[in-house]
Amino acid sequence: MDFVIAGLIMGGLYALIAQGFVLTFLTTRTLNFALGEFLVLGAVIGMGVGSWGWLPDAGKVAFVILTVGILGAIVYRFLVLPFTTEGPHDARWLLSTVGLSFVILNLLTNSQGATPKALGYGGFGEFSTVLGVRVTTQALVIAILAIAITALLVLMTTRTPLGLLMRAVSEDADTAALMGVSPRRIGMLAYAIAMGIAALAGVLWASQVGVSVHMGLPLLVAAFACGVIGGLTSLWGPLLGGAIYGVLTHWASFELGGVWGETAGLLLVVVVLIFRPEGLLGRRLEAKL
Amino acid sequence: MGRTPLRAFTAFAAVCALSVAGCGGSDDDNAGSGGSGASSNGELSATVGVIGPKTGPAPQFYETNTVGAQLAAADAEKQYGVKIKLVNADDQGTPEGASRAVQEQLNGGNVDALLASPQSGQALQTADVLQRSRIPWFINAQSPQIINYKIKPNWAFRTAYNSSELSDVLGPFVFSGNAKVGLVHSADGFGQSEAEALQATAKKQGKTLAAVEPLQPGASDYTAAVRRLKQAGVTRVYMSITSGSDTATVTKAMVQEDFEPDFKITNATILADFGELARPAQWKNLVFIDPRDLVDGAAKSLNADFKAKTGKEPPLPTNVYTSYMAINAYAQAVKAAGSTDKAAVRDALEKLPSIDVRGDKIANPFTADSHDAYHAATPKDWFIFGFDDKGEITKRGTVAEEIESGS
Repeated sequence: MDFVIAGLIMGGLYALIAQGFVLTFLTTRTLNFALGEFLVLGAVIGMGVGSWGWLPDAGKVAFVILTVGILGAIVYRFLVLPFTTEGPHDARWLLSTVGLSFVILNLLTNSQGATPKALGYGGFGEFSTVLGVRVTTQALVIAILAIAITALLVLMTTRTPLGLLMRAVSEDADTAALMGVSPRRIGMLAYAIAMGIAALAGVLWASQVGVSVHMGLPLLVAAFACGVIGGLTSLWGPLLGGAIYGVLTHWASFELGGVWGETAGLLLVVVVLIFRPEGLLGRRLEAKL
Repeated sequence: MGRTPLRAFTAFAAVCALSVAGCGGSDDDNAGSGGSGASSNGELSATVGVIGPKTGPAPQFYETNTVGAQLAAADAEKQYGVKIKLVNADDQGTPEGASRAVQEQLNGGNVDALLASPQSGQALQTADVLQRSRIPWFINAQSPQIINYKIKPNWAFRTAYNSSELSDVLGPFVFSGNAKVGLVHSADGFGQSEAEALQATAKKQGKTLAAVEPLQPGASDYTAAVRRLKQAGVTRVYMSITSGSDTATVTKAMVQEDFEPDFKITNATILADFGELARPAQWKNLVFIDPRDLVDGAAKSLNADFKAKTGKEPPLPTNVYTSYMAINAYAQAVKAAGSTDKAAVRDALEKLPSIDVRGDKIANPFTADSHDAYHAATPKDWFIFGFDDKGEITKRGTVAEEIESGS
């Protein structure tokens, strides 16, 4: 039971970050492989505004989400969109986002140093007990937020005019454009929301483990795995993927040893890619020829 | 040995070109000073290359090594009349970068000695070349394998303790009192090297480790491994972890899982980041051992000077100390040899009565048989430290005293 609860809670963190992948993939068919660095950027900016005593902690977190969200939109406009113009098989955006991750990582390492620093706010206390299992309150809050944000995103995409536009672009960007919808703006908005969510995860997680320029990569790998397992075309996918990945890695770490934890999770990704490449909740995408 | 203007310009242009290309290069720390050897007024001068990861994932090693060497060079000029010029190079924190930086220093750096590289992986990559280059080579990385004692003459001089020495001192303490010992180690060169050394010590003492758990650097969660330690009945844990932030992750998981060993033992790597990231419950029963008196010794003054120079506490204080030791030893050897003649300096190093770190004396650091400065250390020479309620370091005494007290 311990590993199930602990795995589900950690899976919540991965799921929250994985929403960053799903949102951008749903609307633009692109993934931002610098997502881990945006998460770090959120934590670093969060640390920067930590000294703003006039702003309550919630305001600081909101500022971080907004700032990183705007950066996300700019990145889509100038570093992703221009590299998708050659049709569905144009994958230059993959290189540009990977390149961007290295640029951000180097800039942050050289400007902030490599040693982790305490964030100093945004914490929700020490430990809580869930069904008799002790977990960190911070991770629990993040897991609850992951569920709440997923529900909000589902509501937004299914019940609001904006969501209708997003779904239209997701279904067929060319046709949506003929109907007067701007896929570029929808893409920028999706990137803004996705990177804002990554920044939120970065600030909240950094509050527990400290701000480190290297905190992004391990979380990126786990989040990507959750996205693939759950399905990159389903907003519920990351939650399912996070739950499965979290429980499996905890079970394997406990039963087989630490070496096998992440390995088991990544092996599952391979299995899913073989038998259900669209993910457990995803749907197969049809490419127009 | 003075540089001609053309040569100086060429060197400057090369450095600029390398810097612009973003592929490392060298920085003269003391531009304008003369070459090496004895000047007309009898003053001795030498050039020492300092190689470390200026860029890459762990620039704190570069910074601490560089500043430690700078502090030692400034002191050495006053103490011994030896003017040391430092020439820095970036190994980019990679084995390939280390190879390139070493080749640059050996081929064109005009250096009399080298201090390289502070990380075991990079030092191991370049060890063979450096040991055969017939140049005094100082290292402050911990992997025992870096120095190959079969290569004669031996040009490598280590100013940090190595993992085997650590385990020799640690063993009697860790395995005292019939403790069931568990080992947590980073899954990297440093952690694995210490883990192997402790396992060898356990074998020598006829003991076994109840559990061995690896830790991926930067791991988000370590609760599953802590549950395994608990299940194995571990009562004492040794943590060979590369960074204090990872130690914080492990100790947090211990608190979360309500796992309270009688001692959580580690080494001075905990000084990097742990204090800032951990909460009081995490440093309960937490101790670390080190051969330097980090509370009352010279480390305090070095840390203060580091802060004055950089505006912050040293992220790796023991690296400042060991790079200081290297330059101090070299300056003394140059003075004893009366020149920068490499063979004469090497011989002088082997006869050095002590390394002097602002009053801390490391006696007979190098001999013909051992080039490891802490080769003669025993539990009575090493200190054991803990943390007070505010997370400040406290000195508990020597390791020998701790064992005698019945831990």
